[in-house]
Amino acid sequence: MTLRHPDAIGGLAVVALGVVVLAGALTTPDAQFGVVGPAVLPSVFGILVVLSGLWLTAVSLRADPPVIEALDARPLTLAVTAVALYFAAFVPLGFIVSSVAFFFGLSWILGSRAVLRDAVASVGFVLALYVLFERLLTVDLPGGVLPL
Amino acid sequence: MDMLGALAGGFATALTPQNLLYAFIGVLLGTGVGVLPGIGPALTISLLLPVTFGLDPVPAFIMFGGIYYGAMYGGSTTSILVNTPGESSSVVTAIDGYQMAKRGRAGAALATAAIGSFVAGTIATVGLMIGAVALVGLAVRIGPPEYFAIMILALLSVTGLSGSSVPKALFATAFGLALGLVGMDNQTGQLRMTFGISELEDGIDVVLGAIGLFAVGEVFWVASTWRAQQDEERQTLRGPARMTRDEFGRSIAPWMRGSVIGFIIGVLPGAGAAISSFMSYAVERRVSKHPLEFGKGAIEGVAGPEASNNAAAGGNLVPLLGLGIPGSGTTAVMIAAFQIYGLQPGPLLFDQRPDLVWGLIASLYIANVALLILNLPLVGLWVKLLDIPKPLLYAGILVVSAVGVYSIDRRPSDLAVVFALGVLGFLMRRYDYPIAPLLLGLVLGPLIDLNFRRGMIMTDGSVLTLLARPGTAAILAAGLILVLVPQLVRLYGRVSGRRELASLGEIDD
Repeated sequence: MTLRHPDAIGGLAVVALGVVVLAGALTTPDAQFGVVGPAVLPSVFGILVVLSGLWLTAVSLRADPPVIEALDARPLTLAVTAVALYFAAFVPLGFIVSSVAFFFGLSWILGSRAVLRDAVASVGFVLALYVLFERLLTVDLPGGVLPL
Repeated sequence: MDMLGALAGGFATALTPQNLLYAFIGVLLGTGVGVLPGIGPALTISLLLPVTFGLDPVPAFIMFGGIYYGAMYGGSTTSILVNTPGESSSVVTAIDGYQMAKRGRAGAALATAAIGSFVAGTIATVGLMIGAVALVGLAVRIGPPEYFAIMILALLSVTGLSGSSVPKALFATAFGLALGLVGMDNQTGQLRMTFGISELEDGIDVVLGAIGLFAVGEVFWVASTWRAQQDEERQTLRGPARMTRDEFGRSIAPWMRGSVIGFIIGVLPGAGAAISSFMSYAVERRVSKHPLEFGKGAIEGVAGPEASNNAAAGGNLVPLLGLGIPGSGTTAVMIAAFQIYGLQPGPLLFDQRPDLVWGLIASLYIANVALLILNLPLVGLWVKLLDIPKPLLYAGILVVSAVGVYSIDRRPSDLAVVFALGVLGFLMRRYDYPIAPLLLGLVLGPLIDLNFRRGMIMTDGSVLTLLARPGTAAILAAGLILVLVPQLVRLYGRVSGRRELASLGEIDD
């Protein structure tokens, strides 16, 4: 009996998430107001999460490991990094600069090599969105480093 | 009659040139985004939500009617022309639709899907109107305990129907409910599960959930399976989208049956469009005079499921408008649309904003007609959307996602939440956890909490008294049946070796 099974590991991760929920629930100060306090249902849900994790681990130890496609680690790591950087830069750098860079970068990460086309597409798409939201729909997008 | 008068009022609202234009724009946007591979209806609506921000509520909801039906319809084009359907409710359509396309009958498959969606949408909208009004009548007589029970029923059925692994579905549901309670408790003002992070005090918006889990999670998933994704089979559309007389004749009965099945399943909380399309397919194969054609391009296998998944979309709106309770991931996002305008769907809204509710219902009829008028001539345009290179498509989706997330509250921390949910969505997708229950839990969490605590005040803190009320007990019993029956059917299917039963509902919205 090993923990090689992805669902067994997943189950333990679920238990950990449930413990976090429970910790959040149990540190809620009780307001002494109403019949059921604010911490009751969060605790119930936290317990359910823990139980589901234990259940999943128990079931998976008796089952054959499922066939899961091989992971393409490089593009995944790059994509996760790109999204993290994009979201972090969205306000400081502004919508236009961060989005053009991200659009071009993610296209590259996902295997597109038509550099000129992608550059034109990223600038065109982002500017079109900017006009649509900022000018037509009056959604205020961050200006960032550009003097907008 | 009262209802017809109200509907006439709705049409008067919706049929102004300006609102008509919004309905058409909604249909175009909904279909266009819905056609894109990998974008289901819940995500389509989330991505398009910011487009309505600048509008008044009435035109915004009229546009939403169009987006909603357009998004539901859009997936059929992808599943007929590309063998990898973007969303689960189109999986069944792909079986025979793609085979038809391979035989050069893509036009007929698209036509039967479009006309079937129109028939189903019309029947479902009539049903929605009658059903929602009936529920509103009922709603004044039920209290918090019954609301609590109905939501438990919705969660039980979505958990029971959403996948092969019950513990995984239970995790998704319970964790979604817990996430829904993050932030300030609106009854006591206490902060719950914020861990001292002030940005979490307002809670986690369902739009953040949909965009994080579906859009960001999808892009991570695409990146992780990049090599496997390269070889995609695509069929081209030759000639106009039209059926022969024989194909039309063979489609009529499946449209009707699919509409009825879809609407009924759609009304049941928790059971979504995917399940109804599976049921419709199973029924069509059973009643067909040429069952051997199924799987090789039977038009009934496209007509029935496409009608049923559009009818289910109408059915899903019954508990949403009548009771204010979403029964699917997609209607969970619709709730967010109401909340943006400070509105809560349900019986009160029929009283307070009849113009809005009936305008929305009228716009669903209009959206249906618009779909029929626009989609067949524009099918060439929709097909062109499939030519967008995948890397650019996903990059574009994430840029629109970032705009959508930021435009809700102009809060950079929301982007961090979406990133975290994206990682979670990726892991759940990779290891086969159902995502729809998490999204539904996110919306139902606060509603369940509110009604449970109010109900407990009514019963002086006795859970037993709460559960033993006749209405509550009956609803919960119905929930148990809904959960247990599919499990028993699956078990029976496994024992008797009938694969279509064994795999019943192993799919999520």
